[in-house]
Amino acid sequence: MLEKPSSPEAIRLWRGSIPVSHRYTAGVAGERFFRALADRGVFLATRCGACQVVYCPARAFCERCLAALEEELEVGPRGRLESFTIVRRGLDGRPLAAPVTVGLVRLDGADTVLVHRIGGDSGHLQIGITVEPVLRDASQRQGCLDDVEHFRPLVKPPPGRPRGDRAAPPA
Amino acid sequence: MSVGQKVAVVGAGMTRFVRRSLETGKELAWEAALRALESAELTLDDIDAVCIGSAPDAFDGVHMKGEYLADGSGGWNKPVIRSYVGGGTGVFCAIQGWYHVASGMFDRVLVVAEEKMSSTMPHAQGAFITIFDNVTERPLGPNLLWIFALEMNRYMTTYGLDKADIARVAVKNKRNAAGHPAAQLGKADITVEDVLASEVLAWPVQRLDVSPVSDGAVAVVMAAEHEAKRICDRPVWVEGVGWHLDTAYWTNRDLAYPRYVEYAARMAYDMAGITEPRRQIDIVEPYDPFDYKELHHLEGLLLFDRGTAPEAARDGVLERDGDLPSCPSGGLLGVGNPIAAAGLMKVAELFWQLRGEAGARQVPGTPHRGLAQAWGDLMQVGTVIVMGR
Amino acid sequence: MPQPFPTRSLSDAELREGVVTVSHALRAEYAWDAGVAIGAYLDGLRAGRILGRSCRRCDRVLVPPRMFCEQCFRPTDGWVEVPSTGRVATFSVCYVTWDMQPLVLPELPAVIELGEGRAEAGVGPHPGILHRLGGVDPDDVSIGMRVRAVWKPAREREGSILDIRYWRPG
Repeated sequence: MLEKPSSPEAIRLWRGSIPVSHRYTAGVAGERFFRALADRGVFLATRCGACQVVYCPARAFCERCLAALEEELEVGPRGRLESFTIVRRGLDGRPLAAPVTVGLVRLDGADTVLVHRIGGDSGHLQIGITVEPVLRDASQRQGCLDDVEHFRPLVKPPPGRPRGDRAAPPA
Repeated sequence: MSVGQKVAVVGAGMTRFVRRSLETGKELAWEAALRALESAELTLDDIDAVCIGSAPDAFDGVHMKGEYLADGSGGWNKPVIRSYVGGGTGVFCAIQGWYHVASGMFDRVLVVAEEKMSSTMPHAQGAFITIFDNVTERPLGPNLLWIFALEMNRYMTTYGLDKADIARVAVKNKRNAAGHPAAQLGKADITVEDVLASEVLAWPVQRLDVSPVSDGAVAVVMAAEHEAKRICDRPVWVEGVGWHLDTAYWTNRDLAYPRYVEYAARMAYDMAGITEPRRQIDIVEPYDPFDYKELHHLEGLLLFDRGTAPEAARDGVLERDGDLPSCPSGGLLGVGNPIAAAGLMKVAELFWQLRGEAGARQVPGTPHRGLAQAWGDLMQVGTVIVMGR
Repeated sequence: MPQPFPTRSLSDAELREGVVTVSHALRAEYAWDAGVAIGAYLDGLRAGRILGRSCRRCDRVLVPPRMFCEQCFRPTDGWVEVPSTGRVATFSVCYVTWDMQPLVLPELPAVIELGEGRAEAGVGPHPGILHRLGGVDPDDVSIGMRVRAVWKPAREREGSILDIRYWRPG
């Protein structure tokens, strides 16, 4: 039957990579969403009247009934923080120089969430708080999610000890 | 031999096939799904399950491409399956659709095939490199054209074939595609001389032997017998299906003959009760990513003896008004080649042809039965579907 | 047929002028275990030998070697050294790179059938590998032509398929 290797020298590694890169179009709806973000600093959504669902970022079709979505509206700019986490390690498994907080934000008026960085003191974040976008300068916006630097809490942090170990205790 | 419930195709739709779409892969899938539902006058609520076909994730550059395409394919809140066998996918996902219904589990199924190859930089070929063995082949720096050129040379040399006869397939398919409203527009009227004078890429493969790289999607609706007759005045029945995967050790096989296409065809013929395929099939849509492949596959489908399909091309047998119209759609060479969608385009073509709805491409007479075949992987997979009125 | 959906075709100009796109380079690097059979195959190449595995039931020699025969689904029976001579089963003359750039000198990829086919004891049909022809004019290559491996000198061999530089007539 199959032989087990008798020594480490018998184990042989072969290295390689997949040499491919991609350029993605934003799509018919994505094009409109990112142009609006870049040019006007607003968040575009589309609405399905039949299903009563508002999608942000804007979508070309309703996933529930496949209708073409023509009705566009602006949502936000503020939104509700639906969830968040503090990331301490990078894709290579090594610790990040500084932790990054990411969260799910449901902009006011939308039924879907988008992912983004959450700025400000992570120690005072709670699910349910209101957040607002911090946009880059109009001249620096290029039509991508990075046109938003991050979302930050609107509410001032309450006085007293912050929760858990997410931040150092106050001095 | 009948298997399970009778299943019919009751609707079909597609996007245009284009070199590069503005639409994302999701949006392409949606456009085709919408057109298919509209053609059957159904809504998404009427659909019980969704079968998605899309070939390597690396083309669109989206990992877990089935999951990614699901919402555009109508998969929200429904059982979804994604299958892929390289270029064989377009017919393979139709086969998934067939047994979803034949099993009795679902009555109406939407089958969607999509590919967005323009995402790959600098060239779609880069995504194919990994098809070669990582240790024993990739260090040689192979490219995809090699395997086609190696197979084409073996086929031509084994049977003493004339390149001019093979070139006729490219001429035929581009001309047929002039009648296809979704075709990726290029020069419809090329000649055999144009093909033979085109740039040699990897001899014997020349530029005009090769189908274009494309973005696109196709969708069909399949239904059980009791539903099909309500939905559609002229359902097209699935009479046989077959699929076969040969070994990945392609250098240990004789490339002159695609035996895996034959095995898949026999499976489908058995199911359909076909004993004399050449006589009993009226239209054939073999997979034609390169012109010689159409001929190679026609032989594997047992429609012509080995090495004789090229003379059929020469004699006009394969023309739309010939004895066995082959690729009346215009095929991949003419309409375009978004890998998985191209195979399902052939299934849709049979649906339209057998109902007399193929417009300028309509095969004359009253064709009753057609066969669509796709191929893929490393000269490895044959997928076949036989459909009839 | 119904009209196809009017999919929006993007021209090169539109792409240049700033249709929104996102670029991403896949950083996928791998360290594969070559496996039992290929590990030994590579060791053989470093030693200047081509190794295969025999399947007694199918009466064939498998190159590239594998520890199971995929036809009869049994473990393969033993190691066999295969001569580094053979015939050209098929070949191409390739003028472009994988990303469709023109090559200065054409490459000659080929499938080499190893050994002498059924005529030679112990070597079954179609043990064959992908490799490159060299030391020959493209016009002088033909299917069926006898070739032999041109090896790198021992000190340059690393345990790789490239330990064979190419195959030349003879």
